[in-house]
Amino acid sequence: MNSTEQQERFDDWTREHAAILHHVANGFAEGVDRQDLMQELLLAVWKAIPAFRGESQVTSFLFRVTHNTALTWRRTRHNYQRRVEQFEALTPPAPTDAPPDRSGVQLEQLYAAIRQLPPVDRSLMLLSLDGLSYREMAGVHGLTESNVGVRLNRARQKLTETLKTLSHELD
Amino acid sequence: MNWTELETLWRSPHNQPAAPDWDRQRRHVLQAYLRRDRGVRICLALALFWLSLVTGRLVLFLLWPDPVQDRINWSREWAVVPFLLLPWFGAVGMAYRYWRRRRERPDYDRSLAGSLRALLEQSRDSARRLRLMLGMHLVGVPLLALCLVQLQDVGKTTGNQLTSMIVFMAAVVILSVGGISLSWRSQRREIRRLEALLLDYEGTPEGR
Repeated sequence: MNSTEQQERFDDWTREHAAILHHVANGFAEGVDRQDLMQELLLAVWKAIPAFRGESQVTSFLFRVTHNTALTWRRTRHNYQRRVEQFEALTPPAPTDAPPDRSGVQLEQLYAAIRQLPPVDRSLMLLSLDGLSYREMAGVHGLTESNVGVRLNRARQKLTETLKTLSHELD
Repeated sequence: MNWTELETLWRSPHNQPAAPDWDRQRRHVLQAYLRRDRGVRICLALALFWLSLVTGRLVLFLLWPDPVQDRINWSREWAVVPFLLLPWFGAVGMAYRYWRRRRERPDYDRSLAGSLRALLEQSRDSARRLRLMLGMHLVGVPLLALCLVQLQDVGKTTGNQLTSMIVFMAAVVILSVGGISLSWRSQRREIRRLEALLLDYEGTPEGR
């Protein structure tokens, strides 16, 4: 695969499946760390493209790449501050005079609750919300389907309790 | 919020990145990465070029010594040859690591647990290599001392020059050992983190 083909595929994949990267970045990091993780996710996708053999769907491949990256991510020390500032400069600031959007607030609460789960349960929860079956999640993680079910039920209970606490704190 | 409401919220447009910002961000990340990669290749090429120049000059000394200009007494100044091999080990090692990092990527056909195991093995290998690099200083420092002593023995350095060289080289060695030690500690922390993640997978009754 030459560089032009790799670039085209990178453009297509990151445009069509932006939500996958967005969900993983928000689920595993917050604030400025989120920018750092998003950069790592984009680079992981770029580097993984030549390894894609077309034997699975693009979405399955991207779930593996992004969740693998997020689980093994640690904050990049080298030029961290400069990279994050450059990346943030490309994001327009939120309007400060607009009334808070209820859905936006609920989504932030949901992500905050997800981030409190242990890393593997967090990944399973994100995959579940993105619509993967137990079988698909088991394949991605190397767990059995029953194990996925047990862990997800536990994660859902914890998530529900955390969301109740967060809602009360805001009320 | 019940589970159905959560799933509806999850699939809503609020949970998608805004298109124009997203386009700018992803292009910026890729361009910055390609620029950095070019920079690393240029630095490596320059380092190998200068090292080749110095080594080439030494080889000329060996093969076609000028009896007037190139006064080297090899029986008393031989330490410079093995000492020059050390930066070559370093340069070739760095070039190899760069080339290998560009080619290697996680095997995405493996499960995440399998990839974690592979990454843990890689991290342990890195920690071993760092210990080896620290060990090479045990060889390098005596060789360096021998080079300086031999230079003084054949009258090519004065006392002051020798002192300056010792101070400079000592600073380089301390910085080098310090840098490698910090990297090794960081690598150990990473190994512990990966072990904890794997325990989360393998500690469950049916995890594998």
